Amino acid sequence: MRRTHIISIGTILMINTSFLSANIIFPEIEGWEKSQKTKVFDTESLWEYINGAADYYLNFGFEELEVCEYSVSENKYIKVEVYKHKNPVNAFGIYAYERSPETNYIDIGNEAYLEHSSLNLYTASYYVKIFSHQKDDFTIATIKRLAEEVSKRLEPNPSLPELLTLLPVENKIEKTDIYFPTNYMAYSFLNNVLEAKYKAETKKYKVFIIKNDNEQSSKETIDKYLNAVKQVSEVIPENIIGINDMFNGYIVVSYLGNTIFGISGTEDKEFARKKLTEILAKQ
Amino acid sequence: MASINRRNFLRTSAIGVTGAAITANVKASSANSAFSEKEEKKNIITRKLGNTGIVLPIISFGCGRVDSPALIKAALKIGINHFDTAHGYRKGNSEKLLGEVLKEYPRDSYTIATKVKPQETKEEFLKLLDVSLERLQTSYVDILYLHAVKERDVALQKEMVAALKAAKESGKTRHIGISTHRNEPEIIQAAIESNLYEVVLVATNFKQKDHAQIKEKIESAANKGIGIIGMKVMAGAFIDKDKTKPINCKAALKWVLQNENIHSTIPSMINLEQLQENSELLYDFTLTEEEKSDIEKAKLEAGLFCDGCERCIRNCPKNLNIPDFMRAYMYSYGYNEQLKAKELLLSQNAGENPCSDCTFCNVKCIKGFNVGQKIADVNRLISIPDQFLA
Repeated sequence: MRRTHIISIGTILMINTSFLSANIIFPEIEGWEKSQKTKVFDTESLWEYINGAADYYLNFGFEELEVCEYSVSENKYIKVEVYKHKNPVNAFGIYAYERSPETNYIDIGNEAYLEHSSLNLYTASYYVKIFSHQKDDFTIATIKRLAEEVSKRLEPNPSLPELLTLLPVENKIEKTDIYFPTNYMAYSFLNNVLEAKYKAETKKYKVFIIKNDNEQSSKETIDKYLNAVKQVSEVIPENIIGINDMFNGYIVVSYLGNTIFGISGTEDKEFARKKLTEILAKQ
Repeated sequence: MASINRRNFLRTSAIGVTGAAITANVKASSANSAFSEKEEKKNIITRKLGNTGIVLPIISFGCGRVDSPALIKAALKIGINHFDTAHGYRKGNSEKLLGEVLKEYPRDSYTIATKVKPQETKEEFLKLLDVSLERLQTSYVDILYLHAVKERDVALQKEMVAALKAAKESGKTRHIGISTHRNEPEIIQAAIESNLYEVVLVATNFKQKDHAQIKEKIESAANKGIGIIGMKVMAGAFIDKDKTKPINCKAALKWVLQNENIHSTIPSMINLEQLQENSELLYDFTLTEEEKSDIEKAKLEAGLFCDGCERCIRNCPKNLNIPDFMRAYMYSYGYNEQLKAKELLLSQNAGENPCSDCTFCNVKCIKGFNVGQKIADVNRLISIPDQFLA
């Protein structure tokens, strides 16, 4: 079977067959036997490996999964899963979809965390999951080492996807960014959305941004939203519109060019307006 | 800086509000309005979930992909009050989201099912259940499934049976269930014999090759008082790998509901439009003639469709491009396009009998196609003159 992988290892290489790519992505680790062949799953076969969870991986632009095992005995093994997604934002999206804000973050790739004997990270267009049923120090140390090696091989110089740099930093609660490729707030027309939680003046709120192709798309998206919610909305000075959304609460939105900015998660209308005004002023 | 001014916004707002008023009766264009107007939820079609005492709407909510509180709230508003999640969905974020939303509603106004995969020990299983309950912010679930079971031995494994019994005795679950989407007949039979499982969550759709066998087992289980909930009811939403051939999902769901032994279903819903479309079936799930035809066509096509995975090629000593032969077969036998099939066959340059060198076919197709036979059948076309072909 002819299979093509595109792997960034400084320069872009085209690698044929999963066996060759396995040698490049998955390092040899002393004391551990690496499986001779990797298992590869595509968009059609992913469900065979992760059952119903395949649906939401596919929603985040999943393209291919390669799985490699390291073992020292039948019962002691580490599994490394490398999920390739359509682009870095999608890889971040699926990573963030599964993480918890309160966990043990470690500095590998773009972002990583280690929970018990399970380590997840994302870098470039890849979401990497490494885990073992064993929780001894030797296994954990190997998991970390594997994460570092695999991450470096996939992308030696990871950088944040551009969309993630657009959210304001001030008042943001760490590790709460979530990417919605589709169906933000349950609306099929709110796509390509980044949201994060914030806290200011003891009040919690959410900020979201929607990146559109152009300014016209921004206008059309807001109009679709207004059509969908039906409730009479209010136009507030400073180019901000307030929307009473039956299921999502009070929302304020505005747009600058191809980007829509919004605040949700607070019923304090004045506060929401003020926060959005501040964000817009800094753009 | 591109921006909007107050006048533009007023105009935008006016268009929005005007648009909503005009389209108030067009369901697809105004999601919220449709939900606010639907107050007749008392009349929705429900079925008894076996002997559990639970009565469910025929459409419940599969929460594997849900990431919006709005959807849960909207579902409750229209009468969908059973939510199906799992310990592992989104690494627990699915349960957390459900817990956050449902804590605002009376506990007896909805039911929750969660699933935990088989563990090595009873203690490990129960520990995971405790984590799930904490995420769900409730002291009990209504159904606890042993998750994704595909072997009879696992369904009846002593440690897991003990764990499930302990969960029920401690009040952490009202009912015990088992979920399966592989080897379904064997697992349902195990559930019937177990005298333990009260609910079976089973994959069921028109595309299943062994559907007749599954249906028979479902009937036996239902007759024994086991509640049956259907999953994977949309049959993957597409016929083909590249997702160019969508399935009529509404028809697929209606097709499943025709079986009265399926007491509820848990389609995944990810936006208000999908919820609204599915909710219409709570009142009427009669298959129209067009929908019946869509299902029949999709069945036929799914049965003939080669996924093009190419795993077969390496098993063929002549390296035949088997997916192309299977495509030709589909053109000929599925679409009755003989000329198109012949053209594709000729382009293979494989002669009149491409399999003549082999006495036995080593090719194993993941879809179970009898590849050698299909090639032999369809390749006869190349010796038939064009004027005799459609």
